[in-house]
Amino acid sequence: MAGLELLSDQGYRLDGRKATELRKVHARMGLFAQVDGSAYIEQGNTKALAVVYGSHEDRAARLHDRAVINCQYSMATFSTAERKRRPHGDRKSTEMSLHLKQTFEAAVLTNLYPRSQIDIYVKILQSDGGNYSACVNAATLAVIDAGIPMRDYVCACTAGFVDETPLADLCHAEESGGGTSLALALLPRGGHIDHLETLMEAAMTACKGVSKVLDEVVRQHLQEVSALTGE
Amino acid sequence: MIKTEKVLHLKSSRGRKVRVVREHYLREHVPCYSSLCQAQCANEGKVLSGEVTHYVIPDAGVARDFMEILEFREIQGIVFTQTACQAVQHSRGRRQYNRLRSLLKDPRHHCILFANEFQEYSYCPREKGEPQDKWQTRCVYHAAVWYHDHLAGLKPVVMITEDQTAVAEYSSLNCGVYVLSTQEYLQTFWPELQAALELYCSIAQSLQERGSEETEREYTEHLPAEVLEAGIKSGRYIQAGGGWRGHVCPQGWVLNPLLYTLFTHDCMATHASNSIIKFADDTTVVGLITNNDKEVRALETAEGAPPYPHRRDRSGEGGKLQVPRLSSPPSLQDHRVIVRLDSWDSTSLYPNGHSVRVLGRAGELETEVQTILIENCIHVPPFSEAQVGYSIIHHPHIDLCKFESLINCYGMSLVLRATTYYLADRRYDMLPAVLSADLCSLLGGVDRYAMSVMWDLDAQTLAVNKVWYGRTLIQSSYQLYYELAQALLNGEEAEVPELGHISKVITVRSSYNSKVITVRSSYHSKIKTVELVPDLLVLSCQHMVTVIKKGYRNTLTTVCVARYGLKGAVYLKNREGQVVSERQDGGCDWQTGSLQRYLDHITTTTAAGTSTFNLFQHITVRISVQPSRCHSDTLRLEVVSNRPHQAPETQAQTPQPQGARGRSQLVQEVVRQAEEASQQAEEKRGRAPKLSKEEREFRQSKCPNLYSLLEEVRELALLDLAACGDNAIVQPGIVF
Repeated sequence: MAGLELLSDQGYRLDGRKATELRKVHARMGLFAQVDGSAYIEQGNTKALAVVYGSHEDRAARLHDRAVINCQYSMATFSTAERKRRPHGDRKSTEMSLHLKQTFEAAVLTNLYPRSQIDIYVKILQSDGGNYSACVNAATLAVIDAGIPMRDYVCACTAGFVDETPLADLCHAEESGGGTSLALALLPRGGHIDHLETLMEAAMTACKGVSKVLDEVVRQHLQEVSALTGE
Repeated sequence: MIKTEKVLHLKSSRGRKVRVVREHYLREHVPCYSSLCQAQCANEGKVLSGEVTHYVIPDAGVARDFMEILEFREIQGIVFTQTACQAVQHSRGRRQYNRLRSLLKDPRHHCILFANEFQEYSYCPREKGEPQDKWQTRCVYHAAVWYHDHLAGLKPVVMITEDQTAVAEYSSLNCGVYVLSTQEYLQTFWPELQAALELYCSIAQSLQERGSEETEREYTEHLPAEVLEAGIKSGRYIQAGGGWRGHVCPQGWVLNPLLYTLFTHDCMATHASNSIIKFADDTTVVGLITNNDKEVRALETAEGAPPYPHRRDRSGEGGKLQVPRLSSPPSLQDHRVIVRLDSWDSTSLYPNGHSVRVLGRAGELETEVQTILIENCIHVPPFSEAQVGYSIIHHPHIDLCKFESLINCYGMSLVLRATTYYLADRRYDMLPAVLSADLCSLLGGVDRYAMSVMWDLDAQTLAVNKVWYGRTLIQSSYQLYYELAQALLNGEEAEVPELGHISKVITVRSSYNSKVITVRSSYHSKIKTVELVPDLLVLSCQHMVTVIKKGYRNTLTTVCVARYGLKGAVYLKNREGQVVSERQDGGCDWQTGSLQRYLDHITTTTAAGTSTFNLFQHITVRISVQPSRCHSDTLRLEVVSNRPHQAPETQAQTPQPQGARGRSQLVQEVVRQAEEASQQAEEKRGRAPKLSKEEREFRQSKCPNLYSLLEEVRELALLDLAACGDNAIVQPGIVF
């Protein structure tokens, strides 16, 4: 293939969508009877299945005033084009699980269930870009199905950038093309505390401080070198 | 939107075949980009006009192989399907695909892109077991049918394909949609476009020939070093002379008694008879075998040899290529032909190509002029009626300060023609004659908008006092023509009517102009040490310099010429291993020896003795200009003596700031030398043989003439202001 054109001159992406169009979403709740909550979502060709075991006793009693949320993310071995060797326990899965945990700790009203544990298990059945978003959306539906109160829906989607045009809801070819991509999960009606601004400020100030230090080092080195050659 | 899926078989990064499922969204409203649209499509941008007799839709195979025919501007109303474009991208590569894209964007070509694969009713999913080219033809045919129905049958649609079975199958299915082969199409619809038919035949033939080629190699592989040495000793191989920079001597072979080729990827020609032709993955040096006597002419007149007509490469890379594999070589002997190279098989000695256009017999004036234009990538199609007419109607008073309207009017053609081309017998104007001669010119007695620069020069030091840029309204009281301006520049007496007493002032100023030019060149030498310094200044200059620092290499040291602010490198050891050594009388010459570098001095040891060059020592160097065929001319500094240069007595003793003293001295010296040179030229002119009347009439004007003045102006305009510092170099605008 002589290079993929992610956005044609007429504004069509690889699969025929325009830049702002989402993929087709199809979701079902309440699939299994034996668990508290379950949901299945298809975002384009990305298929995710989420299962929630509602608040039960936490033997270790880690937190005395709220519930512990335990997330596990895994991918089926048949979910990618080539068979996935290690579905559980690899670094990417652990990282994803951590992300999901942080997301739902912010959304679920955990202080209603002290000293208990809520389990969320998400499995990707087919992966075509936007894994994290599909997981978050599926988990939201499953938590609602389980009857656990949340502040708001947690909605997630990816976005990317090609030729100064932002693209919404990236597929696998667009994500892995090496361009910019961003995955975002949020509570659509607000209600969460956003620390992004203050974090960015702090990081930018720190970077400027570092640049000063590096500048000093370079100048000093130049002085030493020119002192040796006697210029 | 409807979601379907398509299955692709791709190769993964590890080389394994991977079956990939991708989504495919279909929609109802895909714009058709035709002005005859009946369904109110959102047609933005380039739209096909309805004034053509038919719309033509090329198949994927035609778009891939015969794109050059579709690039003819006479063929209008082309609808490229998305299928065809993707076929070009995947089989021909990025370059061809970008050409297609630029064709689609160019407003001078009547072609549009229709996204047939995203249209719900024109999309054909691939059937099981269907070969790819059949599927592509089917897609294009369905797109043609949809297009015809979408326009409610207002315009017949012709699909061209090379696949004969497709022609037979589809041609009678729908009335209004015709399916023809490319040749039939050209013969039926464009009978007067002979060039297109010829091009088609040549491309078709070269495609056929490429398919039926032998694959055994025509040349021998590279030989190992031992075989080479043995061969040279025994006289079987010839060793080329000259110094090779690389460690491995390039190998090649002798094509015939006069011509040899070498293959090397890193080579620079130092001899005029060698041309370097760079290809995508290799470079060829084609050269003439000489015994250092008179160069042998090219092979056009070789008797008994197979006919190798001279060719020129269309891309303007120069070089004379031997391309025998062309259709009908005998009829093209002694003709100049534009050839496009298609491919170069690894087993073949020569590339494959096809002829694009025959320019004419070699040696005829028109042919040669066209050849030169094409070699330099100059395209000068005539201006269309629309462009000329539009400019007169819409801009009776052209305000050239508003460039946007002009560019909208002319679009791409203005961008491509950024200058006027002057040939010996004709002139290709940048703008239509209506504009360049009348509306955009300063005519006597007529108001014109202009972009002007006014600058004040001090009469003595020729420094710029003030510069003003701005828009002006000029009513010129006299229209200067080239010959008069030339006469003024040459300092001759010229009659300028209506200016009477001012004519004397003009003459004086013109002489300043010529001085300004000369002075400016030497400013260049001061600011950028690699610029050309006029020979007047440099022929015999020996100046005191300061050794300022050690270079990081053992063989040179860096010196500073304080007087002119030059800093450059001086070699103390040359390529043959000789070093600079001092003689008894203080002069320096080259002798074999060794060189040692210490922290604050360099010593050279020869049979005659040891000489030392200390840091911050004053030595004498000679500044000269080193011309080069491949690079711009450079300044060269050579060590003349280890002792300080005796300054001439005329140097001013009063302490002045270094820069001002140097500069005014520079100016005076150059002015003086220019006057001496002009005196010498006058004497020479007096002694020159008389020219015939015809020669006198048609010879080139003396230098400096308007042409060189304009060249200087152009170079100045491109000069980076930041590099000039605060020495004001005027930045002239262009007055139309």
